[in-house]
Amino acid sequence: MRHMEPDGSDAHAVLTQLRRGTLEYCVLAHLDRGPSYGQDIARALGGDDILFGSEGTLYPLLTRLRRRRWVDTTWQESPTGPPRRYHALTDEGRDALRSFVAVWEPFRTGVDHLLKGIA
Amino acid sequence: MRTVPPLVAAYLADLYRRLSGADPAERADIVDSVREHIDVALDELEHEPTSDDVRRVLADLGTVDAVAAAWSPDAPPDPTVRRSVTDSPGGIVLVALGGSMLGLVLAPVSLALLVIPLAVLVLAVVASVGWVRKGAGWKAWRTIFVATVPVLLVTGVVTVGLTAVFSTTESVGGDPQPIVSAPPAP
Repeated sequence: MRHMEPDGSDAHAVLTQLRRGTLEYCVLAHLDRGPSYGQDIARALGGDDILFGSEGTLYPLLTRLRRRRWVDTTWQESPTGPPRRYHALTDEGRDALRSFVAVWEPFRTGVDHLLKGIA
Repeated sequence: MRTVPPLVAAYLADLYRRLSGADPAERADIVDSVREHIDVALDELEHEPTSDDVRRVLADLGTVDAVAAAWSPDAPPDPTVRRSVTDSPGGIVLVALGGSMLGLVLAPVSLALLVIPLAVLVLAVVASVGWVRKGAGWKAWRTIFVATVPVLLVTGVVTVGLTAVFSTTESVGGDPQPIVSAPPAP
């Protein structure tokens, strides 16, 4: 099912802020399943329009993750097309993902608890 | 090898321009990654892409502004980026004040040794280039620029002031003349 972005500029601003804090960890979580190339990550995370506003925003984010040494990138030949950059999680990236998961669960529970009953 | 459709070339050129604030290597990396994304998307069509296909791929990528905004300076600070004292307005004022104090100290010496203000001037020019180019260590260049400009200004003002005072003193006082009493009238 394809979700639509919430309407209104306020909702869009909230979504933008939430993406800034979480999207890179979503990319790390995807890469935790194995190395992947840009198009593949974009398809996996852009299945609904909640995580991604547009596929192109993935690439500045991947560059940032590489700078932090959370992701390693290598070129690989493709049997069906041009060579592709495959992105893989590094040990530092795995540690960062674990830290996020440890914080995310209580964070989400706290927010859900506060929001319960608000229309 | 497929020729690059003009729409794609324009999109990538626009993206390169919009990323002018990014580190040059990272700017090239982002543009190359987006180019690769477009190549793969068009290759997966398994037919010669039409202009509608190209427009759809670019629409899925998002506007150039949206992609560049993902790199925008107001994004959360990267913990691996070294902070600089001139990141805040207060820091800039402090560094400028330090430069002004140094200028006061150097001014009297600069009258005798012109090489000192010249060296500071060269450093300020080099720092401005390093800052504008946004290469590695550009924040350090910015700090040097913020420090050297007040040094030059204060040194210049004080030097001109001292020169004016000395020249006035000399013209008013002149060379001491022996006082000769007028001979008494016969």
